[in-house]
Amino acid sequence: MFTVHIAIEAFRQDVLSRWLASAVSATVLDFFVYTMDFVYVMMIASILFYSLHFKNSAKQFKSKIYLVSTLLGIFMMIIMGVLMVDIVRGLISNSSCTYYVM
Amino acid sequence: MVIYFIPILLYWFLFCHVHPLCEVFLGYISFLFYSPAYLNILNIYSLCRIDDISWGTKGLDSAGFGKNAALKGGWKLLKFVHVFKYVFWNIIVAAVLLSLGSNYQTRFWVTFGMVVMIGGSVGLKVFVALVYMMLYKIRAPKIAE
Repeated sequence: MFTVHIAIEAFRQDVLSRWLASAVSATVLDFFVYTMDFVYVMMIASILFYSLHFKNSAKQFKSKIYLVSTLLGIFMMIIMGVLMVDIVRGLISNSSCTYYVM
Repeated sequence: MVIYFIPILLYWFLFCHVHPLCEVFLGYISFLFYSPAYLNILNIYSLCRIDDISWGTKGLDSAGFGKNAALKGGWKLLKFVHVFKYVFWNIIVAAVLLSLGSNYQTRFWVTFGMVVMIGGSVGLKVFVALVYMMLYKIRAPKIAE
C-alpha cells in the first residue's frame, strides 16, 4: 500500500504535474492519487470478502480472484516501472523527486 | 533486486556462465507479475480458510461427531481473531504511513528503515547461500572420491 502510494505520488509529481499542470488543477491530480489508493484497497478487500464467503472451487471465487490477481500483477509491474524510472532520473539528474525507494 | 544480482554477476565472472543471468532477467518479469498473488491472495485466502478442517481428517469433521462441532466452533473463533487482527493492523499501519505523506524527512527514514530490514534479510540469505556454495565447491571433489 505504502509502495503503491509512493509510486503513484511520484508519477503524479514527475509526469502528471508537468504535462497536465496547465489543463488540470492540483486538486484533481491529488484526487487521482487517492483514487488509485482506493482501487488498491478495494482489490485487497475483495480478496478478503471472496475468501471468507467462497471456497476456491466456487465459480464466483475463481473468476473474481483471477481478475484481481491479474490486475494486481499489472499494477505491480507499472509500479516497478515508475519507481525504476524515478530512481534512475533521481540519480542521473537533479530531479524534483524526494523519495528514496528501492 | 540489486542484492540478488550481485552473486549472479559474481557467478558470471567466475564461471563464465551467462545462462543464470538471462534466467534471472526473464524470471524477474513473471516474479513481479505473480508476487501480489503470492503475497496477498494466498496469504489472505489461507487466513480466511484457517477453519477449513475438511481435508486430512478422514471424515472426522462430518456430522455425527458431536465433539468436532465444538472443534469447528473453536477454529471459527480463531479465524475471526486472525482476520480481525490482520485487517486492523493493516489499517493502522497504512494510516500511519500515509499520514507521514506531508513530511518527506519522516517518510524517508521510514522507507529507509523498511529497505534496510528487507535488504538485510535478503543480504543474509545471499551471504549464507554464497558460503554454502563455496563449501559445496570445496567439498565436492572429496565427496566424488
